[in-house]
Amino acid sequence: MKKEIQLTIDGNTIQVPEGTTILKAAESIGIKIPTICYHDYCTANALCRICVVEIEGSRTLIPSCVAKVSSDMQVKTKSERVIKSRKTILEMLVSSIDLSESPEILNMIDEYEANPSRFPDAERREHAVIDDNPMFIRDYEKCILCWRCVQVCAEDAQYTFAINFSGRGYETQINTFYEKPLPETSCVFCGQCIGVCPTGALKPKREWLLQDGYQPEEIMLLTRTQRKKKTKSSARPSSGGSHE
Amino acid sequence: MKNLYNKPPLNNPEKKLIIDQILEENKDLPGATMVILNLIQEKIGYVSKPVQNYVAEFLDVPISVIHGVISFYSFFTMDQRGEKNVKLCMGTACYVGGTPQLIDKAKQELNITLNETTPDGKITLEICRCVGACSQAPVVVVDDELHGNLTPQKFTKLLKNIQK
Repeated sequence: MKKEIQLTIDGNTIQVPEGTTILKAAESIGIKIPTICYHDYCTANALCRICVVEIEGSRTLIPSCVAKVSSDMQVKTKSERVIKSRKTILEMLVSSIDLSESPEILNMIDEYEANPSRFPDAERREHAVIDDNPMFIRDYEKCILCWRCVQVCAEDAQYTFAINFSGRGYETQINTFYEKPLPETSCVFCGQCIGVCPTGALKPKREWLLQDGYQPEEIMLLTRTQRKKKTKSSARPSSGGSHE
Repeated sequence: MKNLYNKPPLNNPEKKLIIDQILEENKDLPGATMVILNLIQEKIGYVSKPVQNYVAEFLDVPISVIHGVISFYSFFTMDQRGEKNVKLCMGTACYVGGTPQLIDKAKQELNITLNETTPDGKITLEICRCVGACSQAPVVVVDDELHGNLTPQKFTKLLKNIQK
């Protein structure tokens, strides 16, 4: 049996098995720490930093999705510093990315009273929708680079390695190697990446066409070329240049 | 895999030998991908798509990972460069110290823009991140040689020297 560790979270002293993350320890007593990039079935990477907590004696805030509990830890999940940091993260996210289809993040913005227009000069991520296959579309304007799609494409699930990060800094994007269209890559169209996408950046083609105002029967009647042509010519209110 | 050998630089037996040697000597190192790509960039001058495929195949590393690494580090290039590679530092100190003016000067002198090579194949113009010589800002790196405290006039002279 694993050693039990005693720690205090928001004033509640609890015991959890050694090796538990702070996130899970808090969950076990009903304290919910918000997460964005974290997914139960993906390797936690502490990318989004929304799950940070304050630990007594620690200089920096600690990402609770990866940090393990240690004995007599004093964890504060809602201290002033934590709230301020979460708020800033949300404000920065919303300043450059289209979060219109990310209800969880929008709820967080409300909950933390983040100001969506705190950074009005932020350069928005602007990408055309990539519609290169009959299965799904990629709309990287909505991508928050949480890495989940890359992880499930690689060692966390499918082992196909079709997508990965490309570029650096502001130019960072999820992409196939050499920006090839998906059908020309090792992609097997398993759809795992769509399943884990938190923001609607990856979406089934059918859902996308339905949102575009197509009727189910109409979609069935479209040939592949027609589908491409029609979606290109039709005005999609939520894509391309609707910001700023 | 076979058709990779018809494309440069793998179709050049000498260069292929160098690449094979690099691969063979370093394949067992931890984090071999980075070491190998670095050496190939250094010895061959660029890491083309066929070479990336070749390395991926040899090391059993996904090509998407290799491409991620190549596109992340500005040190790697995917196409052949000029004889001399002129890198202008865009780190904070150099930026403030006048790199933008140097870039304007270079564009004007060489009649090319960033990431382009002069038609005679002599000079490629690039920008890079901090090279750690901030005290001499603004800094330009020509191949491995560092030139500091540059002004547009001094830089013009330097370019003329290279072109000779």
